[in-house]
Amino acid sequence: MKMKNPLLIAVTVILFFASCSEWEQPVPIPDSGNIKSERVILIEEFTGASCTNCPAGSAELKAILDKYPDNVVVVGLHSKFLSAPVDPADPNLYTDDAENIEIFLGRGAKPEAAFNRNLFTHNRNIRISRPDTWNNFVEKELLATHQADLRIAMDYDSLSRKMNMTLTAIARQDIDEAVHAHAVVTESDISITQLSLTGKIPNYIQEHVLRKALTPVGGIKIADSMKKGESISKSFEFTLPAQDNNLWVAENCAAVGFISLGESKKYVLQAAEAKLIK
Amino acid sequence: MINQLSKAIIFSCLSLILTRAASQESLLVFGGFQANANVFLRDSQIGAANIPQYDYQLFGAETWFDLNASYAGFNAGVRFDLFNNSNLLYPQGSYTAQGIGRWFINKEINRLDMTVGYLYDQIGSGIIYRAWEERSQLIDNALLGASVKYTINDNWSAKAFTGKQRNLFSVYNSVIKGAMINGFYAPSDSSKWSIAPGAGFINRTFSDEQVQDQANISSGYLLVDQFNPSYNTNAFTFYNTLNYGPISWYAEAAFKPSSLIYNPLAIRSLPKGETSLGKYERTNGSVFYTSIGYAAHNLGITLEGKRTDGFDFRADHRIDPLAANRGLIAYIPPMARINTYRLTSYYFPATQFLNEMAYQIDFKYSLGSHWNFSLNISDIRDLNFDEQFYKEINGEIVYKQEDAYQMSVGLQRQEVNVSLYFGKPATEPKVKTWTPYAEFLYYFNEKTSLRIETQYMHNKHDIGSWVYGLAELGISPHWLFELSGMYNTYHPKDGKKLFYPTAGMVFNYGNNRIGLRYVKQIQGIVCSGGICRLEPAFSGLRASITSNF
Repeated sequence: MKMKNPLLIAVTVILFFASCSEWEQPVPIPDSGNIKSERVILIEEFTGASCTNCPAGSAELKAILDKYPDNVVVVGLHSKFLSAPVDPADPNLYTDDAENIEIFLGRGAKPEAAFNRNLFTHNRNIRISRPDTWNNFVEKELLATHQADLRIAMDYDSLSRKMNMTLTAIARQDIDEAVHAHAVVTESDISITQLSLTGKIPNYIQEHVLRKALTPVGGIKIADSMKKGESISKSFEFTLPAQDNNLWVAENCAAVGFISLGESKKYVLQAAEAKLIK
Repeated sequence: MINQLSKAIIFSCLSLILTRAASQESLLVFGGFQANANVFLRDSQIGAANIPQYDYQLFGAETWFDLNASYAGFNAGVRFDLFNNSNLLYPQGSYTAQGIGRWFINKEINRLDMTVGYLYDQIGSGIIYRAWEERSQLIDNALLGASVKYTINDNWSAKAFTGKQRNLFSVYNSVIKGAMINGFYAPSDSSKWSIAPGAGFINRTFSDEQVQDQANISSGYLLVDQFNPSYNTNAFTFYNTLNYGPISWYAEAAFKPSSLIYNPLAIRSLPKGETSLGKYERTNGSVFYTSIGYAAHNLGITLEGKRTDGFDFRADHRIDPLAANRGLIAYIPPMARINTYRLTSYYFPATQFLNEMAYQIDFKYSLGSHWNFSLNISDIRDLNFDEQFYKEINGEIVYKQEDAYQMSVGLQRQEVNVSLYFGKPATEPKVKTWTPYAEFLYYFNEKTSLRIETQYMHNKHDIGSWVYGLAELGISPHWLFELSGMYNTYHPKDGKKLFYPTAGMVFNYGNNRIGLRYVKQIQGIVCSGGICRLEPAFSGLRASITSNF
């Protein structure tokens, strides 16, 4: 076969195939925000005052909370990376507890978020970057099997600043693995200077900041397994430190509890949150 | 599954070849071995801390072993890869895995050349497709599939291939198909001019799961920002090299119509009037690249220009920003001088896939047999050529006295948008550096040489000013000893002024090269071919073995 002008033939074929994306049928886009579920998802947000992209992550979480106010609990983790105060007069929101969770879930960038500490298929890490995709992971978790409920009861004495949180886990199906309970205290409405892509943001409000973990990162084992309908309670006590530099304001604090499948699987089954002062 | 299949195919083929070759003489076996081992010595002062290797693993290693064989028109190869607590994949993390990293079998029958396995290839300069390996960043974009090349005649060949891109020890879900045609034409053997035209086409088909994930992400956007997912993305390119006497002109135009990209700077609307940065959007992509070179007598001039608009092309839409070098289908040539000295190479502009207009001029002149002069200018800006991303002017003079000594002196000027290339806040001022440098290589005799290198980077911002010195003693054919140090003479943010020493030795024996170094190194960017990533500071011992057979 003698081809006088193979390039011309190739160009024609290429241009023909280049138009083939027009042949495709459109892919329907599902509705978002309409999922009805009793699941409560734990979102751990890796953030910091010196993280320029983190305000975008926090804005995304606000939108998710608006969309699913009863289905999401957020904990802001100010681990070492990019957590240094921008203004030296600001409180340092870093805690060793946040750093320990970062080590437990794996190092990464900021902003990132973990959703029920789930390692999603096709994701290399538990921590997910790109805030614009976070809603997708929340909805995946809302559609996942609801294995257990978690109730939280809060008792706070403002004089002694002592809080008592009782978590009650109720299995909705047989759980053939160890169940662990976790308890942390968070604080909102903390005003600091925040770095952003456009520079410093004075009086930026940090929400859901992890202030104290009352349990180890892997939680405390409350059962080797649970039968459907079985309930197990666990109480945690903590005395809030004295208010200092606008931190540990009891009115801004909340108790967060969650139950997980332990240290190796890490997967969070259900979360719950209660303000110290309603 | 893939590894089991790989092993079965490899052992069957190699066994067949080796068995049949046992009594033959034409079997050719060759390969190579490369191993790196790092001992991590924690030094929180320089930031060498808080990753598993410094905190508790202490040791990390990588190994590659290639074995290739040719026999009776068959070519086959297999490569074993090993990573133990390695920080090569994620500089901030730890990666452990091992297995068959590559295998391939190739056979040419008459005009048909067929290959199956993990394929490395490129179309044109790689703008729409390049499957390549770069071990310094653990990039391995080989295509696991099949390729057929047909030689039409002495001047024309066509190739088609299909497969899935390698993703460490698995593959990405999307299917990649491509075809190209390459030709050559000269009016006669004695003609002054010739052309080498070509054209290529790439199609990427996302899997059901990938498209569903895109649809779910889109549904989370407000209506104003929603995008339409699609299975297929096409890219096509046309290129040509024109040679006319001492002039060589390469030009390529590549297009990627209506494809999905992630734009980290796009503003996305949130409820209640708030906004966030970063979203997927559908856009037309294009790259225009040209390079014209003149080389005659003692003069060499190269002019390069490139315009890139929305051309991020990957095997998966979900690429972690910390691993931005993964899943790349496209390779867009860099447009800045590849510097080799420690301080002149600290700032390097990573190729921008979405928005870049750049040019580069390289001028070389030899005066007699002793003097060489060179000047390089590169200027990288946004698409409208308004906002400057990077600018470099580098002049160098080399004086060479054959078999006695060689001296080089140079001066580099850089202007770098560290917000774009290093993720610093937009308020961070543009870095402007002056870096004079000098190198002296002296041959004591045929066996012994001494190389001395020194640089000073004057920089009022970012990491501040630095001085660097190196002495390298070579005792051929076996030994090379190195001593170097880097010191922060000025720090704009009152950071600690620290000394970063390095000491090392290399032993060469035949085809073996064994190196051992004690290294303290500041955080920086590691680049290869415009593909860059941030590397954290390093403190520890580095051992390496390279061997070929």
